[in-house]
Amino acid sequence: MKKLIIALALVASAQVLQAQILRPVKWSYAAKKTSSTEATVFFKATIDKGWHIYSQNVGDGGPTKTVFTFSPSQQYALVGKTKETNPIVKFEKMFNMQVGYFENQAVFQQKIKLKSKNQTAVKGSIQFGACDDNECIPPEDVNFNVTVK
Amino acid sequence: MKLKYIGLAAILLIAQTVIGIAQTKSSIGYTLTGTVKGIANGEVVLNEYNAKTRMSTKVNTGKLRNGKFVMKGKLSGPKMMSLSFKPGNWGTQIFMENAAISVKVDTAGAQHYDYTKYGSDKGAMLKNVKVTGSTSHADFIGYEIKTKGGKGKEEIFNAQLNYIRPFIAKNPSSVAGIYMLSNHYMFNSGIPLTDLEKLMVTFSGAAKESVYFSNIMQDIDERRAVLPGNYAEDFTLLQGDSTKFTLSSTRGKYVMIDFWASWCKPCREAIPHWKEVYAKYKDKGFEIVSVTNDSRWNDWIKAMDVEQMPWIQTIDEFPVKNMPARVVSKYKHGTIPLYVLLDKEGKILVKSGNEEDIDHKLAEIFKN
Repeated sequence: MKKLIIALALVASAQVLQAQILRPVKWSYAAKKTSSTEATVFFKATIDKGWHIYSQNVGDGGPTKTVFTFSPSQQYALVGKTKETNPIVKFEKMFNMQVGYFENQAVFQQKIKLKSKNQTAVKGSIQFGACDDNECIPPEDVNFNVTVK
Repeated sequence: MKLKYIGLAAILLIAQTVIGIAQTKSSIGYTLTGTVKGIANGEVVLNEYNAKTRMSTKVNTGKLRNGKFVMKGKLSGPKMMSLSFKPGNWGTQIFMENAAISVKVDTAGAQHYDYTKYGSDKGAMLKNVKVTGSTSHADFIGYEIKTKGGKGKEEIFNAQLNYIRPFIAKNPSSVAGIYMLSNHYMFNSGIPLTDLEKLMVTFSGAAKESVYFSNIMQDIDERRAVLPGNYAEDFTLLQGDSTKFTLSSTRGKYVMIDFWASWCKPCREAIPHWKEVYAKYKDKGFEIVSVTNDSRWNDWIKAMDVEQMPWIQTIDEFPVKNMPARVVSKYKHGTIPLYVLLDKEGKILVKSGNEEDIDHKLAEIFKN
């Protein structure tokens, strides 16, 4: 079995944390080295009961899609797009489009090619919005920093 | 004669001593002595963070030599600060006060972060830190340890409050105590005003003079300002045709502000209901003003085309990057939809995320 490193549940630097009334979504991260030159980074959203977040593939004018942004780095390169677990897909008449969303939890993964033999830091941010049947939290950005050892 | 001189000399001597004591007392500051494992030579910086402006200011700097440093200074009162080490940017929090404090740091196991995209810094949070000599620090760490864990928000918040309440009752002037409450409040910002005020009256002395106390008081004032009975602050926002709309231009009518967004399904699901309400009351002196939380103009225009709302449409502003929209955040609600019903003079009657609350009030107003 390969090494699985669970890394930091949201770096809680009290200096940047903004007071939020509701935090129905919690993110945690992990990285798994699949070979000497490749690794996969996992992002897991744990979603409170009744709430949901949306797929990365929601069209413009729909609900707030989840967006991953990776900071450019000399240490690694992205391989393909960020994959996501299968969302529940529904046609939303209101938005006039197919809308994919997640309940309870969602796992996203990004393959990377390692350019350095040293420990690699994968950094970036996730933008997401969350709703339940009655209300929504405006889009929010959270940062991640996952170490591939 | 001689006696008189001796007396005078004695008085002078006493006066000098008194002044001397007073001077020593006022010049008692802090001495921070540190040992660092993992960085031998570099710079040590003590920063103070302002939660309101989200800015850090440098309080003191020192040289790190062979893993050791000493810093001296004086504070107006205890304050939570950040201590960082260069090269690199290794940081930790330390509750500083005027005392002889020592800190032992090991860089092993630190957590790395990057906030450069948000106008902040990147570095590592030290996980191996031991502070001695600061009562405030010890008190706050005690709170953190005792309230750690717990499942779910409710349980955590209750554990924190159950620790804070007796602590501040026993130590009403403790700055660590007001800091605990301020930390708790950062996450539990929905705590009922009366509960918060009940805790706040406990504080005295240094705790009451601290910035943590005044920040909470300011927040209480802001929350009070949007309670029913107060005038809603006027605003001017853009409409879909890029003309300006000012809230106060609706004076003389009952007005409901509907905070919504194109991406908010529950907000849009409520629109058919508001169309009925609007049709029922608009000729009796009722107006609706929609304020969207969209940051992309196109999404907003598209949603308005679909929804065809026959009332005033405006778009909120995002003047500060990564901060909530300007007008809606005044109402301190956190989620949308949010409905604010105003009377003819612009006073707040109801503020709620629940449409029924508005319906009831409107039925009461327009019953005749």
